[in-house]
Amino acid sequence: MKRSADSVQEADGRVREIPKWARRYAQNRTLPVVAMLVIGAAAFCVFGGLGLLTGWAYVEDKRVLAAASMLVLCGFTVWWVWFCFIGFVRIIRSITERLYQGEGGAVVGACAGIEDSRGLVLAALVLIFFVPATLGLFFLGLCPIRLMQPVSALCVVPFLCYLGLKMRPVGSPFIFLWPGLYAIHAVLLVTGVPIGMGPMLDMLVPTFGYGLVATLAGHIYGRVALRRLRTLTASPELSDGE
Amino acid sequence: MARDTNPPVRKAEDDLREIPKWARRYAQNRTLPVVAFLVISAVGSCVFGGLSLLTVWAYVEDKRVLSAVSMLVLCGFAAWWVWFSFIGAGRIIRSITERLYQGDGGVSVGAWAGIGESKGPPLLVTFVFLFCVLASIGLGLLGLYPITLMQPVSALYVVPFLCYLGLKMRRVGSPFMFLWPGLYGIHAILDVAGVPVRFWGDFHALDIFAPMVGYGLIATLAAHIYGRVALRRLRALAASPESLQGAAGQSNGRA
Repeated sequence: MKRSADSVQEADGRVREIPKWARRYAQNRTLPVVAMLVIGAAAFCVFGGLGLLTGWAYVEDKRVLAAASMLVLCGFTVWWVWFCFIGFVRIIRSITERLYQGEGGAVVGACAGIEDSRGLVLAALVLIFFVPATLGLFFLGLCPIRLMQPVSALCVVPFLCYLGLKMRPVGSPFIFLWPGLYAIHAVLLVTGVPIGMGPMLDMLVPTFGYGLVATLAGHIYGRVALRRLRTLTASPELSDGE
Repeated sequence: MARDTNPPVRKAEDDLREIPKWARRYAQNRTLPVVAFLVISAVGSCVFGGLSLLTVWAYVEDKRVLSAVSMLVLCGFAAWWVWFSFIGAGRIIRSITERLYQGDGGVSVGAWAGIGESKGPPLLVTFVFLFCVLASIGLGLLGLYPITLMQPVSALYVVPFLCYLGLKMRRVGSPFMFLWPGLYGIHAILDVAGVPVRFWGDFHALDIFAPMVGYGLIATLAAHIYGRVALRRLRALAASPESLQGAAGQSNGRA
């Protein structure tokens, strides 16, 4: 009789664990962010590559090549505008559906509370101010270019932390790894640790690299949560308890 | 129903029939929102240009504090411009329009617009236009055509785009808007033919900016003036004794 009461109690505990793990799994479905980061990094490389090619061809007086690469760059810019304003949602949704095909849908809407978007808009505008301001200060020679990443961290880290806090009900807590690693990278650079890779890569690698680390960590934890969830729902005690 | 042979009644009927025509003309020519948009864009471009010039001048003259300050103001203005373009423009333009047409009341051209027709140009046309803008600036900066020909080259895509826009919006927009591409095209032809239509020396950006904004303002103000004429005509028709009699007669007949 006592044994039976224990098993019912255990089954109750397991039932109570299901929503917790379901929420954890839903919060850590971060593959769309991974896809977004990969597309962003690829676009950054294409922009940089085509810009460099155009500049090089112009300096070397290869006019046809300069014109052709510049036209491709313009075409890519137009595509990027289309992607940002129209295609983004559609493409990311289709990638997500394909990636999570076998797992069905997951919604964290019940615990979401991010209706007020005014703070997000303000934060985005501050970031929009800060990015060209930082670049401008470097171009004007008012700040050494090797400090580009640490100076950018002054805005990027608070912005990513704010974003993480704002999206806390629906987002993965692992996303805080991103500003954390970004800040550590900045501190190491300032203290003279030789991790500098040149001004462009100093920005590109921490921005996209640490973003990927954070989202992939979230994804792995999501896998763990899914396994735990499947174990919980398939356990015989639970079937008995129900 | 046979047409009334009594001259005053016939005039009243004609007047009544004219009212929707002039109402539509008035509605189509309420172009002050476009004027407001053009003025804000022109002021924004001037602020951008002025701050950029100030930053570069201060940098060249080794005035580091001034260059930093003007660059920061420029970045702040750029952030405001992004907010304006994506969030504020609709609200600000709507509030200006409401204030400007306060005394005239509201009007809709919805009845004349095609049901289900989009209000703006299709996305493909917009993206082709954007590509042409970027490509012509890029080709100009690479020195593949003389920078003095920037306006005529831009006319190759601006004129078709504005004509297309005018045709696409012809049911709801003012026909005077065709003045815009027309004058822009004439300016380009005169420029190529060597007529001295450039008055701003080395400021080549003004070769495009001044015709674009200037002819846009001419077209929209012409439409606005015509809109005023249409409104006056409409008021005269609505207030004329024949029209009132006709309306009364029609309502009596219906009763």
